[in-house]
Amino acid sequence: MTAVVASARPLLAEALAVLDLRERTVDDTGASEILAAARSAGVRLAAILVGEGGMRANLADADLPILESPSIGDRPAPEAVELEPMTEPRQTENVAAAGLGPPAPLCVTQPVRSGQRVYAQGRDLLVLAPTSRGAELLADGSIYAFGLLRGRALAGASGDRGARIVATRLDAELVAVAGVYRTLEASDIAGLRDGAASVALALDEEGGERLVLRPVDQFLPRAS
Amino acid sequence: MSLLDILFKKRASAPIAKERLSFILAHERAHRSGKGDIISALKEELIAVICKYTSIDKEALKVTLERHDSTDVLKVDVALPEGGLRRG
Amino acid sequence: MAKVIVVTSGKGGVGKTTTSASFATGLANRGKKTAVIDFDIGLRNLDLILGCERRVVYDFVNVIQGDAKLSQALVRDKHSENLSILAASQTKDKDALKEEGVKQVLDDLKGMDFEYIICDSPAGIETGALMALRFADEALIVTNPEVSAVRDADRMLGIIEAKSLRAENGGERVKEHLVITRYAPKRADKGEMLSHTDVAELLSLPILGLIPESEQVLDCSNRGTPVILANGSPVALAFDDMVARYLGEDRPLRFTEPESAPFWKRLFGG
Repeated sequence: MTAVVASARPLLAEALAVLDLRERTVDDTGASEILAAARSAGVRLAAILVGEGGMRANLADADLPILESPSIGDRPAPEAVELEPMTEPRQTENVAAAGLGPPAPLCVTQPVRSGQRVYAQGRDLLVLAPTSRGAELLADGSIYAFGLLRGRALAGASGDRGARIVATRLDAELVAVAGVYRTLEASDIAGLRDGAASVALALDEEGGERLVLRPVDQFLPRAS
Repeated sequence: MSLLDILFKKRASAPIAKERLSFILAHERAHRSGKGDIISALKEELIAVICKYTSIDKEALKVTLERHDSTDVLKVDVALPEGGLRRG
Repeated sequence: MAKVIVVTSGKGGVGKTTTSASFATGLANRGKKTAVIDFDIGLRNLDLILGCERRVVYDFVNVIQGDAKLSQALVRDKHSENLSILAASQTKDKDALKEEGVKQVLDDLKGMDFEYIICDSPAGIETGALMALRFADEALIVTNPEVSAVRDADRMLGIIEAKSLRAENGGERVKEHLVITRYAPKRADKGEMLSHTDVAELLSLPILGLIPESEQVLDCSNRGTPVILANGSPVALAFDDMVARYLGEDRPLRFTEPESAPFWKRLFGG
């Protein structure tokens, strides 16, 4: 495996990637070997995907967010934002328990600096300051960023597929909802024209899930 | 450098830097080769000099550095043996 | 009440010591009793930049370990009578800067009526840098308009917000100030260099000091004089503006435009 990774080295050298361990039924040593090989190839890991109930124990000291994602979705395509008829994301069980209404969001009012991580457990995350490159925003609910969002945003961290990421200025390195991730290229950002944008899961024609980015102030063509 | 600098031949700074560095590097190398801090080194040399005139105990020599407002004071205390100074 | 101010950056070589020396000198020359401490472990810089290298007998670690009194180790600056310098130790022992020891020295300095205690941090995020920011009330973050410097500065800001004593005790935040050094307006104008507004936006901090790139800095360190004393040079003026702003004066940013000085001006220096 090291040989395979090594041969891909030039390609991977500056990549920001998510390590997908969902299909593996590995024992402990397998996972840490993979991590070590990826690191030595110079791949920058942003998060680790595991299957439902996937092993987490040995991944704890990888110091990366661990996302549970039960199904093996399609690998998200890296092309530019396109406008397609929006189909509603699948309804999902509400993260907030039924009854007393949703818990108040975790509110961050200071800039989130490179190397820092904020996790809104069981609720939404409201960020009222910029987020630097190399910073991480995690929420079980949705993420609403009112300052420049340049780091990584992972919403629906416990599996809520209806979670969204909304940013007034989106320039993120990586976005994810319920384990479905997408690293953003310059072309993705350019398509958003500096305005507010949202990120959500949608079904494509084949019934697979993908993350869709769209500017907030665009009119949506109605689904016919 | 402006024209005036050339006209008035302001002393170039690199030679000043070289002079400062030669001094401090020599001092620091001596320190690293285990000759101890500056006070101990000074003490050794003072004992050697004083021993030309009288024999004294190493412990009889005390060297301290005191810092006052605008001056540094080096204090040297030496207890001379019976008989005082005498060519030894 | 004395203020402890850390001058830090994360990245090395951006101008921390140059800034510490000029900032401390600027405060001292405005009548504030100021001490500046070199927190490096093993390497000593501040004494050279201030020209007092020959007068260092005892250093920071000597004082912490009780081998010398603070009054014996503090060196009076030859340019500014209100400024005293505590040199770094040249020991290789990382653990020599113990937290209780550092705290004691800072308390002793406060007891000697110093108004400002400037902690010149080494590069990186190891012991020396962490101790320098540990007891800080305020921080000067020094950066260059260059990608690694800016990222390291951002990281450093996060570390101050986590590892300072104030952060740990949940007290009032450490007040952060941005100092951009080695700025070249011509290159920023051409889009070859991050502009000062870019850097301020990326770091979400207002600019306290904007210091242009200059040959004067090397000249002054050769001579052992803090660059703020190089009267009339743009760097000196920029540092002076910075000190004035720090003390509450409203001074607009200078040296943000490329030089288009007339010949006569260039003839007479600057």
